Amino acid sequence: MNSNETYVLVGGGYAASRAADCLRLEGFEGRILIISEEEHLPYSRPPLCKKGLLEEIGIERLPLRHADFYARNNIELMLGKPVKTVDRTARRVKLAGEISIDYDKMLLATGGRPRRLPIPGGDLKGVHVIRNYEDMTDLRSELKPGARLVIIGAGYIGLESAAAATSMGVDVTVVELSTRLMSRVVAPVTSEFFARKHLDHGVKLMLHRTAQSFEGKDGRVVSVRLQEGEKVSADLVLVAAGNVPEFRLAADAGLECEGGIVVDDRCRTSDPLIFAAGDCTRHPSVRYGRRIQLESVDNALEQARVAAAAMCGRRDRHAHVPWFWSDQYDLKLQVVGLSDGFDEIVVRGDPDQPGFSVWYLRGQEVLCMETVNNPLEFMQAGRWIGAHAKVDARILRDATTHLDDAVINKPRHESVLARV
Amino acid sequence: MSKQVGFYLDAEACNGCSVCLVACKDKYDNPIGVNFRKVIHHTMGGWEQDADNPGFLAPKISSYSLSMACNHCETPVCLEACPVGAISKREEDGRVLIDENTCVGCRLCQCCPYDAPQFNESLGVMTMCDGCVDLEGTGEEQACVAACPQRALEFGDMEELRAKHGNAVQSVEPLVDPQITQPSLLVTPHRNSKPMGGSANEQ
Repeated sequence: MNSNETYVLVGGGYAASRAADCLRLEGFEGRILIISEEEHLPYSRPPLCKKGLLEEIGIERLPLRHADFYARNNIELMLGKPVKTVDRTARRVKLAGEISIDYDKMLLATGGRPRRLPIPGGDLKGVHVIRNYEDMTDLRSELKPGARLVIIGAGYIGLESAAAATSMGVDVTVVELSTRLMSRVVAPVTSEFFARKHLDHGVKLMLHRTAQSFEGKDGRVVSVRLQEGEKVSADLVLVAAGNVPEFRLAADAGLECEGGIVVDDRCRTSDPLIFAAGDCTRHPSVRYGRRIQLESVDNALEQARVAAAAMCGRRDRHAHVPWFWSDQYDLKLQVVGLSDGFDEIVVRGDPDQPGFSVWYLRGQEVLCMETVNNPLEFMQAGRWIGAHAKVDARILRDATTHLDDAVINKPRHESVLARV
Repeated sequence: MSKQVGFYLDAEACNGCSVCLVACKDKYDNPIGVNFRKVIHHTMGGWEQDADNPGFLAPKISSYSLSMACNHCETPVCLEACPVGAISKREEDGRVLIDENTCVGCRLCQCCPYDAPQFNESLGVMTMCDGCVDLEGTGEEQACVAACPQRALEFGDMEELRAKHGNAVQSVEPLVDPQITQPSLLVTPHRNSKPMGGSANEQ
């Protein structure tokens, strides 16, 4: 199939790697070329703010697929080569060093970059972000027991880093804009649960505070000044204030962008020969009926699969139920679905103990669920959300009941439920 | 160190017949494309100057086969890559097992350099060699071990296997550097193969 064509995949993360895999699974026999600005094979990023801070993890332990996989599937890799421009008329990408490559179709999977705060002192030594392997090794080299680390942002990356750092004896303070942890993604009860855990481990939480500037001495950060007037001493700062989609390349090439590369439910951009997947996109959600942007491993993998199908002319839609996770200490937070539009929250189990779950309902339909250390209920919730199952909140709320008894309408896909 | 089970392969004896693969596939009723065990046929060499006939080239080639499944590694990368914690390393014997009830089918465990985790499309989950955990305590051999007509495969406690096969190594070409995942694997290398890493008994 299309064996004379060249499909160029720009990016070195989950989406590019998975798309290459899926293109071969779709039966594409032409040339596949992954162009990444990073020097490494596409690798796993979640360990960067967890285990990777605690101990030395060689890059050879992190590839998403080993070199043998790319060789076996005849997937070419150009690593350490940033793409400079895309010429859509000539269907050509230009890389540094006057290299140009002609494409027949292209996938943009350029990911995101950490948000830098527009405040003074961001370029001082000791101020870190985490996105790639080198960021991790830089930060790890400075993490010493007793060092004072101030983390700006109490989202997944900030809190996972806090958990890792405090367990190695670093003095950790988390500064968060909102009044609670992970406010964008979990319910207040879950925020409180995690706040207690972090406090128990000696992490200091400064909520509802805004960083005003990083103050330095001899070019190195020594404190963080807050708008509220406080000053927090710091040997190190980690800015974990979210990600910004990386879509400069697409915007420069004249593709429709809107805080991200605009794609349809088949991951097609405004150019029929160019597709996009992952953190860099804004996509319409079939399930949620609006344009959303998701920064998650799951979304990158799913969009890559859909994009590969579309590149091969097969119709597949990005409609699956998104899921997310975060590992902090021995706690695994799992979230499935998006909570937008809920009208009721049901907590099942003791919110002081791991194993509890939080269910977001609209009418009686399950929209979203989050849980800690309870993978079986997470799986069940995912199936229910996918099947638009309705539940009886009274039964759901009572943790002594069997979860299955809470369903009102038997979801259509009987076999899906049968697996639990 | 707690007990660790694993496989031993005599690459001198293995003739690449793939009966192990078929026996495994039959036992687990795996669909097309899903293979817990694989047989790698590795070839090497090329044309070389013939010392006996100056000016002539002789084909100095050789090949050997390696039968591979999950190596129940001591530091498995699949386990670390799994976002939902569906992969675990069993305390009592070091088996690396996938819990199909909590697997979300994201395929991230395909980071395994031995290509052990296999995606079963119809089940929507990853599946993998479990060292025939169902046969535990029965005294029966693993399906692949029992089927091998060359008696080239063994499964058991790694310490015992190491003691029994003193010259075995942890990896040979074309397998990856064993330092990456510390596979519970012992191979008596084929006479033409180049071992990688140290002898298993040097550790």
